[in-house]
Amino acid sequence: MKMLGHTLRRASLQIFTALAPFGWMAVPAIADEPAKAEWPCVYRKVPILSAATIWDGPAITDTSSWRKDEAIRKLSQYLVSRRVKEDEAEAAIKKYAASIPADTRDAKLTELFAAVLTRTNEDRKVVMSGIERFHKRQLERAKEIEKEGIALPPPSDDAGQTDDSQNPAGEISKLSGKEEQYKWEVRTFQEKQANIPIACEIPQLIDERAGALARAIRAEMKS
Amino acid sequence: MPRISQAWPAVAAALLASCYATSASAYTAYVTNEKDNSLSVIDTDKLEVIKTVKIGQRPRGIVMSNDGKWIIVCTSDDNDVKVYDAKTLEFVKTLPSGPDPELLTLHPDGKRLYIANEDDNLVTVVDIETSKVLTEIPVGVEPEGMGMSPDGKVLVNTSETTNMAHFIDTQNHKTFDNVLVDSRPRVAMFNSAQTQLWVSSEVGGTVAVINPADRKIITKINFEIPGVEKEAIQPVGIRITQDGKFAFIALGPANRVAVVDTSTFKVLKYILVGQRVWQMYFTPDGKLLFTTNGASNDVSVIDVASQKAIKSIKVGRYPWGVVVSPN
Repeated sequence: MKMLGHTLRRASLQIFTALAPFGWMAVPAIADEPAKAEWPCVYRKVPILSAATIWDGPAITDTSSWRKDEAIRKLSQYLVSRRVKEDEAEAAIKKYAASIPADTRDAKLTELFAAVLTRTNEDRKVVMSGIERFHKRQLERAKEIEKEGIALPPPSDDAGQTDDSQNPAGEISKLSGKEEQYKWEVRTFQEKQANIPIACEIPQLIDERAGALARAIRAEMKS
Repeated sequence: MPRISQAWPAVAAALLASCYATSASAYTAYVTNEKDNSLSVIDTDKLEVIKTVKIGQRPRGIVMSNDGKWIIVCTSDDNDVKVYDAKTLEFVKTLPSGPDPELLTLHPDGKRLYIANEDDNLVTVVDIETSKVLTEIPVGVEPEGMGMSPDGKVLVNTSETTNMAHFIDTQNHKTFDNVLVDSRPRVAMFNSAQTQLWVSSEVGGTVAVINPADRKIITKINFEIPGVEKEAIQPVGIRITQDGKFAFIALGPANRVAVVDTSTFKVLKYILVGQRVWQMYFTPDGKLLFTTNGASNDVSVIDVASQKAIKSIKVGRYPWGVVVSPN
């Protein structure tokens, strides 16, 4: 029982250690950067992917007219879907470019990029706020688990004098149940925590795809 | 490319191949993929990956032995440097390094390898033939960039935290001067005439050009890209053309490579490449420049004459360093 108590306290410490890089333990140091505490990924949060970071074509001034063009609306939805392989997306871009008369091709492809960029940013927003919500829940959960850990009875200092047989049977099982529950809560917490770096990769994958689509669209343009 | 050659008659494909052959001789580019623990091998003629092999943990800095026989890689999480046969890609041996080696440079004598050890503020000097540590040079906090003068007399090491370029005499391995530069200096690069030393500052967002003779800063270059926030402009990799006329600067998450005129220090062009562009390397004929793009998992190929990105080649995850064979 004493061993278990120690193990659980160690686990509790691990929670804090795990959270430290995410800014919770380091609150005073980052007080002037509140956004960091809400964003658990190692890279800096870039809320919006701007056209200029992936595009060197004509300026993107109109971000809504593409919604009136059914072909672009459908194609852009297909392109940003991460289920569609990159080479299939590229082939679809080539096919679309070939279907547009040369005199309007660049304008239409620019519009297609505006559509891809808008949809990408919509996707990123959903994913990023999901990561932040998840992280916030984990922070709250960590605080609760820590409180529970502190409330657990301390291990006896002298193991030789601990004699479970002297305690009423009901008390032993009650204590054991609490520690058991605590152990499971810690484990569940840690498993969830391990998902954060995986989730953090999703915005990067979205950006990577947007960059590849931008390159493929630019490759079909003359200007 | 393969699809086109399959569709075309054999004659056309042969013609196409000969066109490519004139644009660049066939060299081999080696790219370390930090996250995949692998090495992507690119044929610079076909501009495609011809092989991917697993190497040590967290491969980053990469150089080639002067005779082109070996590729030498910092395997940071193994806390050592590994040597591979450039042709067969077979593991040859491990070289000792301090912990967490990141960047390295080889002396023109082909023997002395200088390795930056980020964790213990040292530059370790190793003989690549005997695999023995020759000496350890104490430098600033978090040593990073390693620039060797073409005559081999001076090594410049940058330290990320001290924000300095340390000038080290390679005869006695003593630091003889320090130059303060902007925040988080990353890469130090001499021009071939040895009249300029370029140092990139990742956080400062600038590149300092230093006169190696008196160690005075000649100028500091700033970068501005319309629509790209200033914080995203993070200069890292530097390469200067053999004739010394142009410097190419990789600007990290700005996804651009800046082309700078080395006489006026004006930025002539920003070339859009893949995401988070990091390190770069020229083909020996100087015609192509390969860039590693850490966030888009590809290598961009820049045509040096036209200053245009002509191709993106998919490699492993988090491509970091790149080197091209001399033959």
